[in-house]
Amino acid sequence: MHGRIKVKSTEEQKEQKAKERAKKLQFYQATTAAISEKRKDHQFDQEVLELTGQILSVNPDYATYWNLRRQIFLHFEHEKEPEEVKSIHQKELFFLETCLRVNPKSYGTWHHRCWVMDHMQEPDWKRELELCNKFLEYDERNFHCWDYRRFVVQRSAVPVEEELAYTSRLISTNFSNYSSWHYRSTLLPIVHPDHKRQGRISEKILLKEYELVQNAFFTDPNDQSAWFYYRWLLGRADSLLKINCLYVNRDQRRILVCFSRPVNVLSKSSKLILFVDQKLILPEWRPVAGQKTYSCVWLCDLPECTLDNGSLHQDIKVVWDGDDDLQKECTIYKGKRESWCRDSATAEELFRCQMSVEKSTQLQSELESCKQLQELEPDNKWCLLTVILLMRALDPLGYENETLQYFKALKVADAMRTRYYNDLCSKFVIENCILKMEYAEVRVIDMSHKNLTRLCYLDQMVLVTHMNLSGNQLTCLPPSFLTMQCLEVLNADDNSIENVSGLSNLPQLEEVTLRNNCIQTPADLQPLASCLKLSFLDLKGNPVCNLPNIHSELTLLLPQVKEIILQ
Amino acid sequence: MEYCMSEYLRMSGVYWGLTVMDLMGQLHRMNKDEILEFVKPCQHECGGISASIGHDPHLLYTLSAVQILTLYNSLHVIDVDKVVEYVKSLQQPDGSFAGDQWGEIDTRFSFCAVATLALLGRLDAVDIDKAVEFVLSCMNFDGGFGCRPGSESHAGQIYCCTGFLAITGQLHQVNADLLGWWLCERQLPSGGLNGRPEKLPDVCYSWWVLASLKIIGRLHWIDREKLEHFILACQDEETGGFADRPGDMVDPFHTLFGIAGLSLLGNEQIKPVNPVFCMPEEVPRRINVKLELLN
Repeated sequence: MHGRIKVKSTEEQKEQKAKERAKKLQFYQATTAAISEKRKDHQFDQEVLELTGQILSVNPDYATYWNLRRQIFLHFEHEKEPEEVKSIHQKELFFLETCLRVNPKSYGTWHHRCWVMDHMQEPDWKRELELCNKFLEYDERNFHCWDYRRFVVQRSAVPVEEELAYTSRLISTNFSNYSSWHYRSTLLPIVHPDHKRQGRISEKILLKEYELVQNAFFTDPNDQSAWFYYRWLLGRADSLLKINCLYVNRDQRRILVCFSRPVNVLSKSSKLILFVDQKLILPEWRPVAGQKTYSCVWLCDLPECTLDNGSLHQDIKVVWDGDDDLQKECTIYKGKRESWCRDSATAEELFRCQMSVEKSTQLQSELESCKQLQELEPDNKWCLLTVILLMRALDPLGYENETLQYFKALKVADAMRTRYYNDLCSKFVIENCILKMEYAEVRVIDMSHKNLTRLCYLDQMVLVTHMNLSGNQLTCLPPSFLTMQCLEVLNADDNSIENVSGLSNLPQLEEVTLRNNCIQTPADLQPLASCLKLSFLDLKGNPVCNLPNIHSELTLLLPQVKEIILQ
Repeated sequence: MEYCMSEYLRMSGVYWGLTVMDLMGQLHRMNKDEILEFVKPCQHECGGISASIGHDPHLLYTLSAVQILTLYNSLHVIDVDKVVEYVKSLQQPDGSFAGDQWGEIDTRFSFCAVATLALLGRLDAVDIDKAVEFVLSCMNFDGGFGCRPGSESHAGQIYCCTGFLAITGQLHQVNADLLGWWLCERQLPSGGLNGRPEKLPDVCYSWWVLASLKIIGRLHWIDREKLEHFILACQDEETGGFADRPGDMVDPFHTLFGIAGLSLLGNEQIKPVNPVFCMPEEVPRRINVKLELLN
């Protein structure tokens, strides 16, 4: 039970209350017993309606009695004339309305109303819509009522545009608008769809919508709902499934395929087909993280003579599910160890939407407005966060430093959510590192001294050979690290790493330095045993180094490693 | 009177009481035989289980009953095959689940269905792909989930849907960063959590929100100290137990979720709780239920 304040009362008051309660209880129990008897005897009549009505008026969550009333109505539909049934239904709607006034949040009551409406010969949907309007006036956040409204709209084919107009009315007049903005988010993509982006809004309308929301949060900067909704407007659509990267390694006889979303290549309904020089090969695909069903990165080992060094070049192609749009090709030349084909993060709108000049101009001006608002409301964390989101949408690299400043302010204004902001900032920082790596057209990524609290986009780093993670606040190299299949050198010094479960089965990994971390025991380093090319490991400054006989233990655990540095 | 008026949910009430006792290592103080004797006659001919004698069967109470019997390792007390048949019969063509024969659709029931089947080792009895399709169709602009497609995000529904996706191995379909943000914004200056924007904090959201965050791997986005402080303040020092917020009346529902929330926050006086099933972690482990949460 919610919202019942504990009140202390005198002895006399207690006694009086006890008497009243006993009387109520007696009546309640007598009624439920009577109903039970009649139900046992299969008596579906007016009296049961009376009795169940008395209980439901005070206890609308007694679901079984709504069931019983439905049984009675079904019986009546059979036995009585349509005119009488119609009148009974009308009475029920009236009864339901009185129940709703007492408790407008009972699932059973609303569902029963749906059932009655669905059983009426001539349901008056307009009246139901009016009922919704009334109840939403009392409490615009009553989700039961909103759901009932959607039921009425669907049954009576109310035009979507009318519902959209209804939300506009509510938003412009009221304060407590989250439910309205939410409803709007479902209606706009239907009325004004972006034909290229599933679930998104056409640009012209989107720009108008930005303005509408800006007005809302400028009028009341503490109205959360507008800020939540604005974040959604700034976002991208869900990405279509694509193959981001195809990588071939001749020495390892291995192929890596990287998808934009986790997929199950081994499901009965999908196939990942491989062609080497137009010849079909059905290899055994496996996910990089051995036990997972869904993975972004999949690999396979090629049979012995598939990639012989004889011909000048060989064409590799993968096709997903017989869909010609979902394929990737690359060519491996004679004498080359490896080859690949990869989409750029920019081209694929991985981190942000490509923007028209119009949209970019408008958002730029909205950024300026938000910055002005922020000066008037320095403690408003929504404003600070939105400035950051706008900067990310407009120019992630250009605004890099300014973004970091705003994150500092955000952590002061909203200290409770510091860990969220650190993780969000880490994500944006890593996006920028990836963009820089792409522009430089290198396979080296420098993420050192960036206050990273977590790792992201590791499935986008399949081709990376050298990674610098030193001087951050990472506590582990998790299983997502298993996608680093081309990684040769890793610097993870000066973090707080206790766990390196992701450093396993990395076939190219030769050098790892983990100085000044929190590795406690040799067992913590077990994953490295499967990195067969690992020849150099620096563990200086870890608690594990102080254990007795540690060097011989590690030599046993990691026989392939020629040099293990402990001090 | 309260006991009488809450008879319509008795099976869940028993589950709340037993689970909180087990979490505190005190299950032995409950009368197992009496409870098993209560559960058995609540199974109806259709296989479904009701909240109490004289009430109609429903998925909600079918799950509670299966949870109780699992705690006591006594599933033999009911006809398990019939339960599976009942759950299966409630799946709709669009993948959703009705709560009972009267047809109310709600993602809560999707959760009840798969949680029941998972505890019985019978997930194969329903069309999981379709069930997933329906739950995903309830995902909203803010990354959260509602009762039905188009319904507003709500912490209780989010718990049910993330729990559902954990059981069906589909958590990768959640936008964890977006949903995690929405969930951590439930924390108010008092340290307590509400169920959706602009609402009051409530100890039961310490469970729905926290468990959801744990499932999607973002538990650390909540300020743990402030939340723990809030939950403890909801205790009644005279009677024991927890209320929805400080100063209100206690009840078993809020007591369970207060304790379960504290367990998720790492309180060592309480057994580790499983965030999907809201039972001591050792229980789903004992019966080998496969669950993979997000990192």
